[in-house]
Amino acid sequence: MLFTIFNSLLAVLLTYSMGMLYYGFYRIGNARIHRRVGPPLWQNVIDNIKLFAKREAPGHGIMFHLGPVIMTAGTITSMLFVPFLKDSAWLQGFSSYGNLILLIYLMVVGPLGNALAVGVSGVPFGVMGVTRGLTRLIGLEVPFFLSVALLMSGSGTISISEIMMAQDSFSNWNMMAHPAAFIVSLFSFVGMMGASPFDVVGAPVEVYSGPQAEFGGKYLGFLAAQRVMFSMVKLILWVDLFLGGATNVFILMAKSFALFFFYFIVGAAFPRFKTEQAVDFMLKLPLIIGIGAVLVRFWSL
Amino acid sequence: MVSALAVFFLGTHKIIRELLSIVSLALLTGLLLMRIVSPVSDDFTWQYMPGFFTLSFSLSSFGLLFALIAAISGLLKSFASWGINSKGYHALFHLMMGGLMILLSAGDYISFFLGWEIMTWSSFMLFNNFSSADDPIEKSQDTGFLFITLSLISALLMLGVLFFLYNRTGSMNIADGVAWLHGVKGLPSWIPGLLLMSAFFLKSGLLPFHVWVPGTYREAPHTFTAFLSAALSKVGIYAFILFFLPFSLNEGSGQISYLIAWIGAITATVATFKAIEQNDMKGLLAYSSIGQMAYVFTAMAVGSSLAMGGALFQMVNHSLIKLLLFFIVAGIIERTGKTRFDQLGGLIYKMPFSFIGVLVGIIALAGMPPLSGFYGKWMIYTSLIEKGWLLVLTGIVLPSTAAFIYCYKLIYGIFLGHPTEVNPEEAKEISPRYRVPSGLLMASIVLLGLFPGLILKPVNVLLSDLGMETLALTSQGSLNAASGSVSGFMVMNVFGGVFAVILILLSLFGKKAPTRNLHRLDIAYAGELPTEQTPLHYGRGLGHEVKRVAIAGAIVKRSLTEKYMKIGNQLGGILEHVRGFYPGNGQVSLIMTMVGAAAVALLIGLKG
Repeated sequence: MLFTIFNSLLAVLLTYSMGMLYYGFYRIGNARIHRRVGPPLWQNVIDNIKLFAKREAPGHGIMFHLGPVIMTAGTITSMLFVPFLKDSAWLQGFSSYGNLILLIYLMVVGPLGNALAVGVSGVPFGVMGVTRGLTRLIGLEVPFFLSVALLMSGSGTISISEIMMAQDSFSNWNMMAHPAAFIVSLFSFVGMMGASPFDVVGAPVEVYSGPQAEFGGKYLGFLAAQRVMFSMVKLILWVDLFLGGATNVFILMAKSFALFFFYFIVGAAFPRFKTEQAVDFMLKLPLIIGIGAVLVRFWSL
Repeated sequence: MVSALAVFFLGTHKIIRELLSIVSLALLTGLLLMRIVSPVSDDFTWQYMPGFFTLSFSLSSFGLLFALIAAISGLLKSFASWGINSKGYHALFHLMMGGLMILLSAGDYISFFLGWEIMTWSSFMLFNNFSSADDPIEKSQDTGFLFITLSLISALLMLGVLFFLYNRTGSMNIADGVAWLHGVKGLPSWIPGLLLMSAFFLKSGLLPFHVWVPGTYREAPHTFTAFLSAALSKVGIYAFILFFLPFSLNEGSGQISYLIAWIGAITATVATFKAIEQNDMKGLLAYSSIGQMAYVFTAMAVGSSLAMGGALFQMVNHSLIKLLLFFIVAGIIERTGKTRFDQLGGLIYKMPFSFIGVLVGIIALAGMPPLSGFYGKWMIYTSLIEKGWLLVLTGIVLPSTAAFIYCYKLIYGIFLGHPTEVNPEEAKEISPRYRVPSGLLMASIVLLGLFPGLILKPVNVLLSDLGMETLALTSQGSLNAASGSVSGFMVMNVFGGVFAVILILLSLFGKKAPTRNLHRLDIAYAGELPTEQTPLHYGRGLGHEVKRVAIAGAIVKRSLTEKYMKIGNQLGGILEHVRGFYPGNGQVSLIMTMVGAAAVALLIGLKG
């Protein structure tokens, strides 16, 4: 038990530092695309510390206080149900007690908890952001579920560890074995990471009409910290599911950075969809590829 | 036994008021519980016309489950509606309860049909005569008309098929008819099967027969709506299991099962997007009921043990959740007199108990861990994956994701945002008679989330009665499937633990950086200063953007109810002409009818 708790703390630290590093790169990278020098690599850490150091934070009662707590708890709980490494006792969290379906639902608990705080703050624009987020979620979840369902039924298990274990050689990586599922999942991946073209909910210019409008100080600090951790959880999940998993932290970082780079490129290249355009798009191209893959699978059986 | 009990209610209802009502329901619950502890055989037969018809009653394990759901719902409902109902209401309610019990313990067609009809008619009178709508007579006419027309269609379909089965088997026993239905392959069993199925779908409000549900739920007395949703909507499922479950196990019926699974998925999708559109609390919950019931049918169509377990779990969950939510909504309507989201808002700190109740309800309703709602869905999803029905899975993921929006709308519209027509200074917590049953329901939802395995023991009894494999039960805290397992106990504890740690951390920060609570108008509002007059509550509009999504817009724009009404009007026009044939004299028309009937009989005779 102590080992698991120690591992959980390790996981939090690892994702936090990975996330801050990656997003530091993200800011520099974006600045270079804009022909700027950009901030230093650790600018995100500085920003985060600054938020925690604020002398006071505006609030709207106890529910407002609990929102960021639920959000962070949801992120960390999701993290603990993702196995980080394969063939290792380290960084497994509580993943043996859960599975992929549980994880997909756990990942929504935090945002919904935070939505309560947004609601109680009384900012109508914040609530608008929440509705946008939930609407966008329809578009993201449907193709994503289809792609992971292909994986789960293909490997005959819903356990993330077992799906990861089954990919023992490069040709057995699920991105090779189930290319259609991988492609479909990438659309949802970009959306779930909050990159353009699916970033209408948390985009910088949309902040005033986004869920974070009313948060400041320590609350925003928690939200910012959990955001980068949450992104890392998603990266690691994709590494586990499609990229063969990782046997040690360095391979994990290499693979997840490859995915992160893809996210960065897509985000830098594409203009932003409106919410309904995003959902319509997701329910067309990715869904059609996914349905095609299902049909091909059952045709060949 | 149960039937006798029902008669006992009917005999005494004139003198009893609330107390007796509760006592009798408690007695019923107790008797049903005793059946579990000591499974004595108390099959009951009654020679109605000796040598001709025998009414037989016996309570199967399935009947027992449904009877228990109904009895407990009824008991809680009676508690919640303490002292607000008239004598006639009680009489009808107990009549309906009696009909339900007859139906659930029926062993032959006659008692089945009788119970079905008693239940339908008394529930119709209940919601029609004791309507909660502002102007009952004016508002209920369409709803009542729809309800009774559809119920009649359902009853006629059922009666026709039951006669057909009697004709084929020569027996009034349901078991014989079911055996015949499954024995015969191909078209002859499909047609009566589909007709009968339509009758049951109608009762559970599946597409395209769902149109009676929203109006009825909206206009029924508030606590009776809870009962309608929690217990009566399950009758269709009971009948479906009774007649069809072996169907889905039957090798030759793959297409029909697949069709039912899709009907479930499409119903859920339509109902969910309609629910998001609703502007009143009961309407939203009504559509959500349709959607949740649809998952149960999808799961039953899959037909594996896991799916069946998921279906039953989902059903029990739905009863708990809907009782809880409708009770609280009833309490809020009683306190504030408002029913719509644009009239409520900002009540969270005045009604903390109701807020937590609705919160527990929507977390379970949305199927989120760590509460019980997730585990029913988990079983259904896993069974769909194991069966390989990935497209159906996608079809039910869409509505269950979209359901988050109406869940959020429900809690936001009532408790969050800004107060509108209800002055929060005057608002009071809902009455204790709602709080007590709601508290019990909340506790059971949390308990089932912590120990989802608790449900498996009764489910396994039912599965073995159906001749299906039982589900593995390793511990009370977890669920197992062939392809993986989940531990509700661990999920709840990990989430709770992490939550506590972060809360402590935040409180530590709180010492150095205190929170300054602001006035509710002191918000980030695009650089403007909102006043009391600024419309800040987003209760009505929330979720309306979803319409811009192509598929949702297409669903919301269309209304089956209107189409049915159009058909009804056309039919009315035609029948007007038909009435022209009536010569205005009873005897003449009787003779004409007899001549016509004789001609038909002659034709049939000639052909035969």
